[in-house]
Amino acid sequence: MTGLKRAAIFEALTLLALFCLAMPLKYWAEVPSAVSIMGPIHGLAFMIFLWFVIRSWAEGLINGLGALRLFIGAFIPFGGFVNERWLRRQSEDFRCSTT
Amino acid sequence: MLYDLTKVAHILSLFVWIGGMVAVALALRYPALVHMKPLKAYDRAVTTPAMILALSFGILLGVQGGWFTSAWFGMKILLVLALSGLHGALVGKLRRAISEHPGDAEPSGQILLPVGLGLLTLIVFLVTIKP
Repeated sequence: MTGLKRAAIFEALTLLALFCLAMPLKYWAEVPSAVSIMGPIHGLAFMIFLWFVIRSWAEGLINGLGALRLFIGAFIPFGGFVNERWLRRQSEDFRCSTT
Repeated sequence: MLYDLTKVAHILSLFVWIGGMVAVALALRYPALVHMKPLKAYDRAVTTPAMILALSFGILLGVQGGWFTSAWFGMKILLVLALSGLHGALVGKLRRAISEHPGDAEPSGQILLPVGLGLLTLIVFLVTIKP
């Protein structure tokens, strides 16, 4: 689950950079290239995150509802950080149940 | 020139990615623990990085070609998302098979390979025709 947690954080950071840095630069400082650079980077981060979500679901680390929760959280600014905290709790619960 | 080099890198990484996916699908269909564990390591070291490279170079091609506003490119992104999701599902099933029931054939292994090849066909069609 470490990879999934890292991917959630990476996705959340790129989304924040897109919303809080690149978009204000585009609309307020007239630097459209900021979005042209940040947009594809966030797109890649989202694809990698989605890959980790589906892999973890198929592996049985999370259930379908958890996968849906992570997917929806990825569209909300700061949602990725909530996702990461939820994943941390999930992995602690998983560890407790196996020991 | 830069565009052509990006295209070469994209196609090469795509070949490696798809080859790895086919290997995992076959391993799930005809399971043998002696092959599954090295395949898991191979996927981690080669196939998944190749997927990330294929996605990265694909996005670079989209930026260089200015295709992000084209409908066919949007459709291609959706199909690539499905293909990478399929890879994630294959790897997840492989990891689960190794830890839970090594030696048992995974029933979905039969359907995932044709689905992947179908997605690949549609992607190649879109990229070649650019409708």
